[in-house]
Amino acid sequence: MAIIEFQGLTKAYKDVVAVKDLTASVEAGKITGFLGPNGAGKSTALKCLLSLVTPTSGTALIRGGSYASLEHPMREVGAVIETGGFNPTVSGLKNLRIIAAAAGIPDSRALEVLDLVDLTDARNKKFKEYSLGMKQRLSLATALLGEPEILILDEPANGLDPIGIAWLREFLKKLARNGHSILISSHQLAEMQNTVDDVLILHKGRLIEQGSMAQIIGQGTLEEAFIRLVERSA
Amino acid sequence: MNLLKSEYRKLVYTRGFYGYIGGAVFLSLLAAIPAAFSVNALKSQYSGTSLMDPQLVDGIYGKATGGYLFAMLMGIALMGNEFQNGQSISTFLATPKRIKVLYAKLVVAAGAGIFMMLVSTALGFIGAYFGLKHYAHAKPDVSNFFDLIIAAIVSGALLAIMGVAIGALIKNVRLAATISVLWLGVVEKLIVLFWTTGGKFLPSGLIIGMMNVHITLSSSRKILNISTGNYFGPGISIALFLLYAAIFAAIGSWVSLRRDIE
Repeated sequence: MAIIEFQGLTKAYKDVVAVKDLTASVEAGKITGFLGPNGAGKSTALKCLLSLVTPTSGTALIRGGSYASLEHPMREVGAVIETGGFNPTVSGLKNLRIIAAAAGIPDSRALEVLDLVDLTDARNKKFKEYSLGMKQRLSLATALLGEPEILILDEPANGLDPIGIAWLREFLKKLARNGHSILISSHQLAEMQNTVDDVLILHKGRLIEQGSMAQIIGQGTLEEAFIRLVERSA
Repeated sequence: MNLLKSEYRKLVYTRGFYGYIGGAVFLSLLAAIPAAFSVNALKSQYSGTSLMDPQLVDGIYGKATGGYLFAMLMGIALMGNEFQNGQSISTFLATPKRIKVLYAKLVVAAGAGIFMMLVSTALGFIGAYFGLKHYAHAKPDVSNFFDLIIAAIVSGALLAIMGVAIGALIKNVRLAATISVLWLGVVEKLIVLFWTTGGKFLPSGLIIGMMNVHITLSSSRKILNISTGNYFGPGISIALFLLYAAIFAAIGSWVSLRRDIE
């Protein structure tokens, strides 16, 4: 069953077309990789999906409706868009409490999610004092605040060291085992090969392939498959 | 209520908010305390500067509202930080219905603006009282204090609302704040100096109008003549101020609803 659907999604900024006629779907209960190089249009497509950016044409739907139409969006969808999104002069815990209040989530949940992402000890540190890895984990904590079934993560491994990446991989797999549906964008192909079940590959704003990881890579690696697909689409 | 709580937290968790209150108090005291002394010192150069004139004494107490600039700056920061820090992403993910976020922000900004102005005006009033204490005949009456409180409440709320709208229009907080400081602190003063009758339409003129202070100071050397004699009364001043705030809020809403969050 498709839980997320892009239908002819196009987003243009003046002369630049960031996403062009994207039609794809994401199945429930799986980790789906949204892959492509920097500037492929992944973030723009996800921002359209999350009602942060208005599409030029087409739709991006979650469970058949727009994100903005969800009654309790953070309880249904958790999202990480970038490591920003926080007040740099305020502690991690207070930042989470600001967001929790807006979503009608009890303050106690902020402490729970900080524990889930191993940030309990750093809860009272200002956000600007966090390392990049800690910032990524705080973003993940935000996504988990509402205990959502669907997670949409934009480049969550960006800037993480190998230990952080391994931690993230195990964390996502654990969430998937617990029934979460995860759409994760990344340009780190080798890492995604070890993490995702299904793949959407975007290049220059266009979808160039969609399928299961096994189908797409065959006997090779995701990187090899990606280069082959990009050359074919050129 | 959830959004109001969230916006309230954004304000009180940020140290800058307390800085704005401190700034408003400082400006109020700076405007109010020396006023009595300077008016008395200028009496040889300007006719109508006698502290025997109750309108002039009211005007000196009116200086206690001098911190209004910070109500606008606080509104700008409350909205502008959303875009500057990228907080708008988490805000609109939590509440994608942007108009609700904007309303909550306007309500919280208005409340904070009122609080800020009441605190700074009260302290400025006390400062003016001590300044005027040297002149036995210069005492405030009760109606003057009432006008002052009304002016503080209305200007605090509406300037903060206008600040939120400016923050929505200009994403760069520093630029928005600089433009506002220049407008309220320099441009309005120049307009009043060179186009006396135009002052009544400006926010600072409307604050004077709300306090019902009508003063005419004319220089024997014909250098600078200052008159608030033709300023609107409290009712029209409040109505015009409300109209400005409504126009700003409408433009701010229109921009916020259509802006892509990058």
